[in-house]
Amino acid sequence: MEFAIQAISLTKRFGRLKAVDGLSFSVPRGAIFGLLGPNGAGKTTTFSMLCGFIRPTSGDATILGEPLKNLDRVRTRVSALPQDAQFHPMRRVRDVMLYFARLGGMDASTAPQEVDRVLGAVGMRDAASKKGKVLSHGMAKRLGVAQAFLGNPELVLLDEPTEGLDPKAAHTVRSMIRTLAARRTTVLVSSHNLAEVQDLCDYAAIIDHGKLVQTGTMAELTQAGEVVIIRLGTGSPDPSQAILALPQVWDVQQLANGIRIGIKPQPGESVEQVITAILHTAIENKALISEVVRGRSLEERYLEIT
Amino acid sequence: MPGLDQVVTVAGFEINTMFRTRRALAVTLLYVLITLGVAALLAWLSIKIGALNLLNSTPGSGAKTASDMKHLLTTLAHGSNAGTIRHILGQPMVVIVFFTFELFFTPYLLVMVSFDMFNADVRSKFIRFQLLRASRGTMLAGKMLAHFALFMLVSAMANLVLFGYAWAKLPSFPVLRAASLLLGYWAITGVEALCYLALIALVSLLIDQGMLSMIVVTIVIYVFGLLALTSSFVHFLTPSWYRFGLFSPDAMVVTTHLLALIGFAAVFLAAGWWRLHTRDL
Repeated sequence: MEFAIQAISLTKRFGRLKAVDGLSFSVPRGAIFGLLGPNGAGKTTTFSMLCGFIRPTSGDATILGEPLKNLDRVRTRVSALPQDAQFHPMRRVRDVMLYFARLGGMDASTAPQEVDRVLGAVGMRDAASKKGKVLSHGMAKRLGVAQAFLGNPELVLLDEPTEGLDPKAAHTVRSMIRTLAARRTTVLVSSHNLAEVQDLCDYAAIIDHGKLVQTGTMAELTQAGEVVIIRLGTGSPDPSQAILALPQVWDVQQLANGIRIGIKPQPGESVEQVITAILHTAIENKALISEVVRGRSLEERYLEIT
Repeated sequence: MPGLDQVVTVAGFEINTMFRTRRALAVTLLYVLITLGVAALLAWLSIKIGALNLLNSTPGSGAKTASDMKHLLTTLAHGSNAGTIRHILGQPMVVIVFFTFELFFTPYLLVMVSFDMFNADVRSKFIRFQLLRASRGTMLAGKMLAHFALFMLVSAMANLVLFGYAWAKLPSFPVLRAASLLLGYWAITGVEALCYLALIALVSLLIDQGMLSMIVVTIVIYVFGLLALTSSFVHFLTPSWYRFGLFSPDAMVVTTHLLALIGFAAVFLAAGWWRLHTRDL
């Protein structure tokens, strides 16, 4: 597998504080990768090291195959939304975006069209003549996202891209991320919004206290191949015993409004076939099924391991 | 985009910002005011000592008082080297006084314009958006180019104002000679400006608080100025001392002192580059 990012024992100290402690993970090319962790876990510090804003105390990372010290070689192929960077307070949005486009290598004829495209995509074309100092938090965030989508980067790093956005703007940003992924652009998303990460990402890494807690595909993290949750309607008979008798089921636990089933497909059997067998058994036992969820929610998993 | 194009792009944005924020206008007005102030001072001195030829170009043709005054002013500003004094006294007074003021005021003027060359962008983290697209070295080169270009432009305008004023007011103003002298001194001032801009960039990278960096760099320049007046070897270690040699009739001395200023600029820039490459932004 080819990797867009490989972090190798990344460590960052601020005085006595070890913000990131020997962090290693790999982001496959073309994937949407989520970076998760509670406040102070080291997400933004990791992000800043990968963007070249801050220097690692030790360890290294490769970005599109280049070590951090050679980041300049791939700079125009990488884009990012830094979490707390502000637009120039005294310059108009459009001028700043044009500056970024030109600095990113676009020629004078294509830069204005590209700026209009990304401003339009985040619904900020009307704000093009505003100065940075009058932008609200939401506007500044959308512009930050817009500048990250300038051109055709191969790798986009987004630090909390939907934080502080209204639902419509957040939906737009998620759609833009999916569009990037459809073009085989690699996207690294740092977020607190676990539902969003679960919905968007193919892979994720969970970090806590600067250390990697778990990394893998979303299916691995949510145990999508190991756990099935059946939500039952009010007054439903309990099908647990019948389901537990199935050869592919090794555990059934009662939940407040349903059951969690641990599964182990037989050789040559798919997870889908196991789920179908479980549902057959539940229906035969008159269960009133309101929802079937494959795997646990990322939130549940996250709360369990952080 | 090749590095040079990026440097020009950074410089263009920086210059544009200085114009849009009216900082360029402010510094132009200040510079022109200093220029006019110098001209007014010369006129006042002329009246006071009753020697109108103080403004004139023909040395030794005026009253003894005027000659003494010229000698006194020149000695105060440029030291006591007899050859240098003779060389200076042989030049149009209006040019030499302006150049003297320019050399002394340039560092402080640059501080007022450029004190937050880096730390403003670092504080707001606007620099992060730029670093996504350009290297740290490109940022340094682009910003230096912008501030240097603005200074040279403003300085050229001030020179033109002075030239126009002198031409209009002085019947015997040696137009061609003064023009060539002003052009030469303008270039020399540029070298001095480069040196102090590099110092300002360094301090701006060392201190993130804008006002504090302005105060610190002002003090440093002032201390350099004081040390330059001492007779110990320490004065060799300050860029301020090397401006005294810029008036020398000996081209070798002028060249050596210009090279020394370029050397200081290189040291300050190298330190700034090192700081920029090793610090978190």
